[in-house]
Amino acid sequence: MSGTSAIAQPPSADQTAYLADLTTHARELRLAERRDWQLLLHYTPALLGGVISRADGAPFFLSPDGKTNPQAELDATLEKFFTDALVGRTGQQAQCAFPARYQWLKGQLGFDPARLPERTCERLQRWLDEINPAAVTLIFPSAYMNNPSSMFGHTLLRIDQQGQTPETRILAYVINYAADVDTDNAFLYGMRGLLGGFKGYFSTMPYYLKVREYSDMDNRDIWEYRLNFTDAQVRRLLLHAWELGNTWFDYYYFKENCSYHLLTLLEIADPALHLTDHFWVWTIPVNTVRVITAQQGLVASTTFRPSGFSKIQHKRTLLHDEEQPLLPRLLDDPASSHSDAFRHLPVERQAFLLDLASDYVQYRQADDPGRRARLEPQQRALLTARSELKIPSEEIETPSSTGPPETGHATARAGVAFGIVDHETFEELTVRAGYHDLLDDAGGYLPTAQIEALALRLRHYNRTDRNRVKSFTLVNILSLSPMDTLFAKPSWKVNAGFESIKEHRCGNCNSINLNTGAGAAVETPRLVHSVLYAFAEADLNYGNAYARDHRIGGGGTIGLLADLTPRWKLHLFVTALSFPLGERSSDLRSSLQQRLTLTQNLALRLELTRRDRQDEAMLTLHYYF
Amino acid sequence: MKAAHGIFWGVGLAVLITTPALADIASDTGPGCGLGKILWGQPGFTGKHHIMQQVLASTTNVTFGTQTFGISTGTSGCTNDGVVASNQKVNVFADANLDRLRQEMAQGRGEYLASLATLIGVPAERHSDFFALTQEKYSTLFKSEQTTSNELLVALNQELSSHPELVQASR
Repeated sequence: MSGTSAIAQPPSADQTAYLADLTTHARELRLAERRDWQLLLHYTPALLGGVISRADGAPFFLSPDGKTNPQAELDATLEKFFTDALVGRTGQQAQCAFPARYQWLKGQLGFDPARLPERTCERLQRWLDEINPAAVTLIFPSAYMNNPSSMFGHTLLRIDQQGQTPETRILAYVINYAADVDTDNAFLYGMRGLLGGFKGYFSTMPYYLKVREYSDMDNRDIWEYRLNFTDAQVRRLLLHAWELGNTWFDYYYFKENCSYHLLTLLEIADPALHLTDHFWVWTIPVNTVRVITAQQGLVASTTFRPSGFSKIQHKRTLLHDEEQPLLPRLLDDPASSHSDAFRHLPVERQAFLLDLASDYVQYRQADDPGRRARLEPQQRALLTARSELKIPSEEIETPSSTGPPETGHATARAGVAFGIVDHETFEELTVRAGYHDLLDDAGGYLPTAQIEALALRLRHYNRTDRNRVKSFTLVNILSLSPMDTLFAKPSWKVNAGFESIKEHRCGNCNSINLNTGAGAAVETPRLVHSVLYAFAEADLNYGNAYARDHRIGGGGTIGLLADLTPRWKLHLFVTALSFPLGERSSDLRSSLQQRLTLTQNLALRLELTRRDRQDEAMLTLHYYF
Repeated sequence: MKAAHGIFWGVGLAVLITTPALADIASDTGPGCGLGKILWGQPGFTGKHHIMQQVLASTTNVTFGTQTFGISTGTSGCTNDGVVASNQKVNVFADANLDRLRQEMAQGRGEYLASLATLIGVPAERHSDFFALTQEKYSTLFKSEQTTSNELLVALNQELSSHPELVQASR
């Protein structure tokens, strides 16, 4: 089936007899049905009964029927352990290509090394020596709004090394699962990502490469969860990772993604863990973090690793009043580090300011490689001045502004609501598949970002006894990037969905809506922490609510978000739209919404909305699950 | 114990000068395998920091390296079955982290600097001397804005071999 047979010697009579013994014994013990074997081969119940392996690379199987037949695969595996034939995508002897299978079967069947000689696996040993494993840490780079494939975050495993210190942990290797994407076409990317059109591969690379990518380039905070595994469990995980070099998996963006496959590796390490069972429809990375942190005793410790952006923002809060004007001066003209005003500062504070300035230039360089060269002289001047101070920088610990992701509300939400509109009361049932909106409690989430997907609101009007699908949201994304003197990124939003409107003038008026906008936001910590924002937006509506079934226009939104207390948040906004195309009309909406957090997964919301001179009040109880 | 460390450091220095870690690159014009360039040249690493571009054509989560670092996929350039070839570890590290090293050498401390010290065999108790040296000799180590990781390593090698206090500490 797979690989090439290099030195295929005919087996001796004794080997043939011993193989027959082992095969019989394995069948008696029903090893092929054991969870360990099922995990090692990635078997999962098939739609029409039986099992099918999620592994899609044929070289992963030693039997032609291996993908669907655990017993045949086990028989063939035992047989291949007797030969020196090179198998798999990686061209090794079976014992070396599939060391986790070998170790497990050896333990179960008690291989006699005199009758089944153990091969030495140089490549595997060299790989293990280089990785130098001591422990496993789950790495979670938090959500990143400005890239759709990373909006929900990502997970990978770091294999911590013997003798590693907090400072040298960047030298450890990670095990990463990622799709091999061979298209730049966004549409193809989306479709193939959803339908399993990409091949996902496991790879190992130094952690510093991932840190550079996530924390310096994407500016994502990283959470690290050291897991409690025994040496034997860590070793089993690595031996299986080595086996995975023989295959790929069809990559499904929503379910069989990075996070799903890393859970399978953890199950291999400790088959008593049942982690993938929690995920049916999709695997949101933060939810895998929740499942792992919820396992009794699995997480030994949690470490926060701030992004470049988070470090800069924290350091800015440590500036003294008289130092505030010196930072922009330093960035404008690094030579101002020789000015009297600057030299007048204690040398530690000079170092602090120069470090902050070079952090910022580094951020700008990583953020846009196009301006890298232009900023080089500035960075060089700052760093030369810094080196001349001849003192080491103080270590500054940056706290997380959001708290660990697993402490946030769960990602799915359901709600019951009571309300009144135009003197008629109604009840509502709402459900949202994911993930977070601006008014949900921000603990554990990006505080100024919203991603809603697949949200449905069903409404019953009491006086007229009507039922309506009030709205269905396909996707509603909004990213606010507060601007200040150092950071200026645009805010943006995209919204696609369906709603029923003008119900009192029109029997059952529906509208499909598309809306997108770009804007700006500012944050102010005065009195209460609040964010002010404004968007210019384009709006397209299609449906029987309009003359000629459509209208196209644009307008804008201004809004205010304020954290009145840690549990109580307010969102006030006004949207004005004018539609010159299709049905000529306008739309003016204003809304005052408040949320009170009751527990991690329970919140109360009061919304007062005016639209088209129609007032509506609604009180909702939200449960997150 | 102290003496043992001294001997170790002496050996470390000798290793620095004569064996793979630094000597490999001493006469070379660039990292032999150019992995850094391969990596940073991948989609997802260049010009992706314009928001709409990111929204429309995203590549992260699916980043570089599935091939270069593919597990047990044999030898290719700087990697060996998915891990960095041992004689290229310093080169690859310095190449990938040059801008952080530059910063931390000026600042006299940091995790990238500590990791570099570890990779080239400076014992933990000598790290602060190493940090002070790189800060002191910053302008020599980074002669210009265009200083490459390779030039940095060559200069660093020279500074280490001719540093009287560190050499003394090694005896």
